[in-house]
Amino acid sequence: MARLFLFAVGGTGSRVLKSLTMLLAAGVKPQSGRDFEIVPIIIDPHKSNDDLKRTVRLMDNYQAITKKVGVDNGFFATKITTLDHLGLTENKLSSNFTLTLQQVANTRFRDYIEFNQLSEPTKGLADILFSGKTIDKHGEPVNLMDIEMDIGFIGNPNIGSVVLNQFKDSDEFREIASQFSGEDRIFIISSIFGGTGAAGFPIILKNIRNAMNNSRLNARGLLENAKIGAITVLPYFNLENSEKSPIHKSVFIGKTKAALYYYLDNVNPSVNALYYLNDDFTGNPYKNDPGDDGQQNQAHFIEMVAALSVIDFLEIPDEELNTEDGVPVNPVYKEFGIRVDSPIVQFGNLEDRTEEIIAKRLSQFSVFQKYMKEQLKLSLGRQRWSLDEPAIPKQFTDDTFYRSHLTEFMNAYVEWLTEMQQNRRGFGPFSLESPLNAFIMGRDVNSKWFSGKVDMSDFDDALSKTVRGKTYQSPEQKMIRLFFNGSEELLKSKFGFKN
Amino acid sequence: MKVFGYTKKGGKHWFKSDPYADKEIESIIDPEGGSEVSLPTAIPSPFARIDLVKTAFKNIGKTPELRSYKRNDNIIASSEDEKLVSDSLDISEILFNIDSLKNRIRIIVWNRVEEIVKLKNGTPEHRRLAETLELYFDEDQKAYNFDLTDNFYLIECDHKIIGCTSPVTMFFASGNDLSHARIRLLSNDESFDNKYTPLYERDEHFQKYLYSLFRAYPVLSSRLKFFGEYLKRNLEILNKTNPALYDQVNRLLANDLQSTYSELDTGISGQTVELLYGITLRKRKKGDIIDRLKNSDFIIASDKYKGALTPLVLQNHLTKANFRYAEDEWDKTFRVPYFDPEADLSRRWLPGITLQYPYLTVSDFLETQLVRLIYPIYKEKFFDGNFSPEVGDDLKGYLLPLKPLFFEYFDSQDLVSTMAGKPKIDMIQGAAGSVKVVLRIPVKRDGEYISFERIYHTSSENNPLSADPEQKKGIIVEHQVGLTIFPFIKTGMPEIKAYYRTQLIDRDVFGAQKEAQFELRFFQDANKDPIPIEAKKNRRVKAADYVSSQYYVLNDEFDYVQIKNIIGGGASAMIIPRWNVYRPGNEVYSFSVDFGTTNTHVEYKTEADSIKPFDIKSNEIQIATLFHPDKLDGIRQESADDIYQLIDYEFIPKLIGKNEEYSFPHRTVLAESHSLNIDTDATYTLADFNIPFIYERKEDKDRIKSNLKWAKKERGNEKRIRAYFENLMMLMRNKVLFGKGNLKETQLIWFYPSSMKLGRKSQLENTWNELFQLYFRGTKKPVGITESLAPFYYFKGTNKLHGGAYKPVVSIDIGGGTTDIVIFQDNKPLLLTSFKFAANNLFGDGYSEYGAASSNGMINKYQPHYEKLLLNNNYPDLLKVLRAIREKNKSEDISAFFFSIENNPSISASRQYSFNALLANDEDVKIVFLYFYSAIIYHIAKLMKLKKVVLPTYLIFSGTGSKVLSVITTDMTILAKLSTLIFENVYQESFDVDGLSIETEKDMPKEVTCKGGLMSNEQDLDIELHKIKHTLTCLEEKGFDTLRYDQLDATVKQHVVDYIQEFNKFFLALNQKFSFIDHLNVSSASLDLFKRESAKHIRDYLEDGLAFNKKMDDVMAEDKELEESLFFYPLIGIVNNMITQLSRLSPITH
Repeated sequence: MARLFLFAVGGTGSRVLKSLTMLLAAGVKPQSGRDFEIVPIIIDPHKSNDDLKRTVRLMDNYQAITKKVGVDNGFFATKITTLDHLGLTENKLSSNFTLTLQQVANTRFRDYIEFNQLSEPTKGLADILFSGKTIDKHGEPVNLMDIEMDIGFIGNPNIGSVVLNQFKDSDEFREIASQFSGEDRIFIISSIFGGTGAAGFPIILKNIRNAMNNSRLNARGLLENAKIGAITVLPYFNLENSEKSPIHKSVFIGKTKAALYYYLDNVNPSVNALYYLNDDFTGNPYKNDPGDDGQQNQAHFIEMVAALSVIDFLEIPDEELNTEDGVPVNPVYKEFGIRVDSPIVQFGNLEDRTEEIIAKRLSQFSVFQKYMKEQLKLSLGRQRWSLDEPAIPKQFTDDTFYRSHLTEFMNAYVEWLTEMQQNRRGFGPFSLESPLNAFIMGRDVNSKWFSGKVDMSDFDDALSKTVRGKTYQSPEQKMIRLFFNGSEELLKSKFGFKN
Repeated sequence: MKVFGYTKKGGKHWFKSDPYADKEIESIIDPEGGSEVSLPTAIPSPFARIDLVKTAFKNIGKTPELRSYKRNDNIIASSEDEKLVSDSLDISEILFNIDSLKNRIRIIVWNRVEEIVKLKNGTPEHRRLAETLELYFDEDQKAYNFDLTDNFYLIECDHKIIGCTSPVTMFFASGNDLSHARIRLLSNDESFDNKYTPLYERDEHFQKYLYSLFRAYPVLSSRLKFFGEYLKRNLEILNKTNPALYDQVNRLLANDLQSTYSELDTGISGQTVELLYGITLRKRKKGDIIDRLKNSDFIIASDKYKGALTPLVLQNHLTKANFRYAEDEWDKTFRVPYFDPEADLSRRWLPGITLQYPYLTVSDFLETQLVRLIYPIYKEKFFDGNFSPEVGDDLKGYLLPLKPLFFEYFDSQDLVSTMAGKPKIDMIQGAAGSVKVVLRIPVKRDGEYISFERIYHTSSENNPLSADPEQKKGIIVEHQVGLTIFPFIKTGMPEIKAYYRTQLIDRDVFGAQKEAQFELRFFQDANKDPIPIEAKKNRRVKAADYVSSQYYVLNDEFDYVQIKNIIGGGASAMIIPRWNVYRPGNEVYSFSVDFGTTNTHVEYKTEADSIKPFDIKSNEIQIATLFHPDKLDGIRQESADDIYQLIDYEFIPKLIGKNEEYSFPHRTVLAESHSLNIDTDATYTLADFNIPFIYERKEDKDRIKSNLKWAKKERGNEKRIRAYFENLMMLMRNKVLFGKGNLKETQLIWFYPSSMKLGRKSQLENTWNELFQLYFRGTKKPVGITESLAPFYYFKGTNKLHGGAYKPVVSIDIGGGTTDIVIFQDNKPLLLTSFKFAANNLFGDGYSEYGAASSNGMINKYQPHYEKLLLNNNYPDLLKVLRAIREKNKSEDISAFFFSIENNPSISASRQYSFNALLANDEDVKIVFLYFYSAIIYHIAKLMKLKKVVLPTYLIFSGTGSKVLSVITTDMTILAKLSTLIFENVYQESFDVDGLSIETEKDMPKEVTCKGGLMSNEQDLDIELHKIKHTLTCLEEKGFDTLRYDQLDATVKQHVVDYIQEFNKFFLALNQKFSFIDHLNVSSASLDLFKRESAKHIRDYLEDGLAFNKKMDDVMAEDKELEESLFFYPLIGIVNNMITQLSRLSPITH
């Protein structure tokens, strides 16, 4: 299977990766029918970033689930493999799928480049290239050269570009190079207005395109001409104004523009498909927190849209992603549109294509989680779908698979949905606390032959109907596949979703 | 429909769109309006700054005025862009002007090939840095022309990197704080300030340079695309705003770059600064700026200054508009320091902008200390700085607080003159004793000037100030000094040698200034070095005398004087005399000088005017005092009277003349410092010595030397005589100068006693000739005349002698020391004799070598009388004079003082002070005067008879000593009768009907010689005196026509004694025929005493006289002939003894 090496750079990278994971868990797949194994690599020196932690945890659960049940069950239908599980020699890499940066903890940039030991001319050059002031994590002005790098590059992507170039020498990169094959693709997620993302994207891109000059890599030629997609997320959320914080909304715009100019000449020509995404909606300001305690920002509709760009990229046929001598032929640039500009986006507001890709799957996964939460314990051991072999007994909920991995994942999913709903611009296709008949916004329950009522018993019926004549390898696989098919049946029959 | 992007291309889901380029990026709206200026670097590349600046040029290049710009709330170019462009141009302009900044700017080359290799071979950290740079060099080369250069040139200012070459924008500046590099180049733009300056507002030369560069290398327009577009836009703006420059830019040719600008190197010759391969940057040619500065409105308007670079004159708070500075107008925000510590003007940096070029500021011309005097300046004689007391009185004046440097640009007269285009000074006394000094310096801009201003305040304990050249404020220091210049006239003619004396009196003896020590320097406008000082002499020092007097001997003319207190931090000031100017005329002056034993007299005549005593009239005052002579209140308040008094004491009186305080004839005395070492010092007249006109008028303060004429054995006497003559010579010369006379034609007559030895005479002659040559360069040699000849011509010339063409006229000149006798016949001298028997024998101390006044009867008799008189009539000063002279114990000096009192202009009712009158009434001593007189006439009669000369018809008397005639009687006919008797008794024959008459000028017997000298003509004087000179031995009857010292045995000496006794008998016999008591009021007591005593000790007196004269004449060989009659030797003793004895007879009668 072809692989997609997916670089998630910085905080936005992590959050988009989370959204993507949710979509994949819900069964969203490229419509092309061609499957890719996703190999995520998170690049973020922001080790304590909660977004990062949540994403990592989420990926672990996803992988644990697919390990148990495989990837042909509708839900969790795309293989996600972190780098450490990729090679023959497992656990060769120190961490799971996070690029570890060296010598950044408690290190000033000045020391990172051993400024004092530089030759006089190079000292002078470094002095001017990295001149100016920035603001440290305490909100105090500091010389750029004296910035500590372990909380990210705090809006200084030129510093980031030097530090992140560790990527070039990293085991991860070498592992990627050694695993990379001609059918594989690369996708890079980053935001343009931060520090890490803005710097990481060009670094990864340039090192891949410049692989010929990196003698430590295998498959250099393949990398040089790799099919590379990327999304650069432009400012999409509002920020609380804080004098203390180095991050300002106004700065976001200025930086975005500057970076876009840079991209135009120095990035765009190297990418096969570049996705632009922004939102100028003025909504709830995010808490202004530069990082040490978290960037625990609520999930956002735009992140989900960004995740969809990965799906979109995977749908592009190979022949449209040709690269010659490291230069893509006819690169494409993409933007995203919805039908109705709504503060809280519902399925109906999306363009058909988008709705087609996500509405049914997300609805399926959502009712699955709702059932798990409200009905499962009542139905287990009673309903037919539960009693059929392989049976899913009451005790099933005590197993690790269910208790830890699936429940945790589902909780995260609900949280993700909730956050997106609460955020502004929001994404609120579901009324999560409503009874099933009012669960999916804008979808009236099909009432042709019944009084317009749908409840969990209907779901049980749909499951039991689905389970008939099917064989499952294990209760876990049965659980995932059955609920995929059962929910699809329910949505078709009761909510009017089409096939 | 909503698209989450900026292309404005509609689409659904993820749809194909366009890359974000300018249009899209510009359309991104900042909700906060682009207020954020300090933008953290947003470019994910180590070359972010290069990119930032490139983008900034691109953005700014799109704006109408090359400034930050919004279109419909849409930011086309931010203020950050504007700053980045401005900073980049600043770097470029700094390098264009690098020669002005050489000591601050350094260029460091970063060679990509070398440095990357070095880094890669270094630590892992360095290798990583190298690899990152390399990655971006490779990957981003197209966008930044990294493929077109290997070298980056880092620009360091004051050891900090400020910028670097950029292959896309020429330069980019550091993002660090660059306030240390805020530099004003030639225009008013300051680098790295908050005022961002577009190119078209910058130095035109810099603009032209950039266009030349792009003209010479057309490839730059495509490679440095945005910079090129910026230039294009700039040119469009110039077309509207600066058509002249627009035109020049359009005319630029490709090869102008090379010809107009110098190659820019890194400081290492040949290592040029290469922007791209083959494209090197250039800089302004060195001479270019300097040439342009010559057009600055601030250039000092000085015809005098001939240096290569004429300085600018700069002032703070210039209120005049549109003054062109270097490239631009003067900016009112520029601060000119009051003081620039760089003494070498050519190494100064102009304020505000960055250029090494000479300029002048306040402390270059104005001192920090203003000297206040304790008197107003005598502004008719010295320039007073246009002083005006707006507040307070003008009791005190101020010296010009100018520094010598001022005079390198202007002449002293420029300041004094009121002509336009000349510097002007004003000194305004304001509140609380402050003085505002405003010095206006003309500058190149027509009719304009720059004002230097300093306000001087009085420093006090409550308000202590210190002199700080960096402050506007100055301090006032008061000095009690006086300055007097002699002579106060300039010829301006190099052929007339200059002789000046300047007196400096320092009376700072109290308070803070008591340590002050002054020095003068004298300058000519034409020369910045002071004129050489021939000598500088201190006659008084503060430590000992509570006043110091200093004399400068100068042999050049000068235009202004610097006075400086040389004690650390002392004040300095300038003094500009308003000289009298000598205009040569044809008036010929003749002077005659009678240098007498007691008194000296000078007469002069001009063709226009008759003969008269030397004088200094009020219209020819020879000195100029700095103080105003009529405004002495300030000086008196400070009890600093020495400031004016010492001028008379040690220098030259303002006025001399008959009705003035001082006049001729004057006592022959010379004053000198008590501390003068006459042997070792090179001495100068009017520095070491002066003629003390105060003598006998005021209590002297110096060592006074009298008896100059005869004291030839005394050490230093020659020097003193010379000094005395020189002092007179200076007075005479200056009289000619002030009188617009003809110096060369001046004539000088001087006198010598005929008894003077030839050697001595020629010594005097040499001195006169030499000095005359020095001071007059006359064509006529000074004429020396025997003192005795001249009076005859006076009486003759004034028609006082009737007949006498045939009969002899006897001229008797009784001086202080000698009596000269000349017998004229046919108006020609026939016979001459001379002897040292004169007034001093009456009033002196006889043969006493040292003063013997304490035992002199006449002194003892009259001194208490005068003391009482002066005390009672309240003349304390004269009393002091008397006591001071008395101290020296010289009878002749004391009696000379007695004689002088009646002529003292400060004495009223002078008659009662007349010594002559007192003596005339003193019936006791009169007998001696009669004896004295008779001896002389007797001696003459003896000589004439021996020489077979017929009886004379006139006796004419001259000389100070002839005053004794009036002691005997004021009736000359009585004296004539007595004289007739003496002649008839000697001749043993009678006078015919014409008889014998006596002529004298009893009020001015001394002056007769000088006047006569001026009345004589050359043929009168063409006489070989030694041929007619005869000395009576008195022993002719014993066969001695001549006598040698070795012939003086006991017998001869006895003959002399006999001869004296014979004369005594002769004298007393006269009384029989002509009663002394009856005719002359001689007291009988005195006559009796005389009869008893006059015969005593004759032989002793003879021996005394011989010994005295032998010593005086320096007789070594015994065979030397006596030049004088032995007759008078014993008489001297007799007279002296008699006076002493007679004085005791009775008290003074009135």
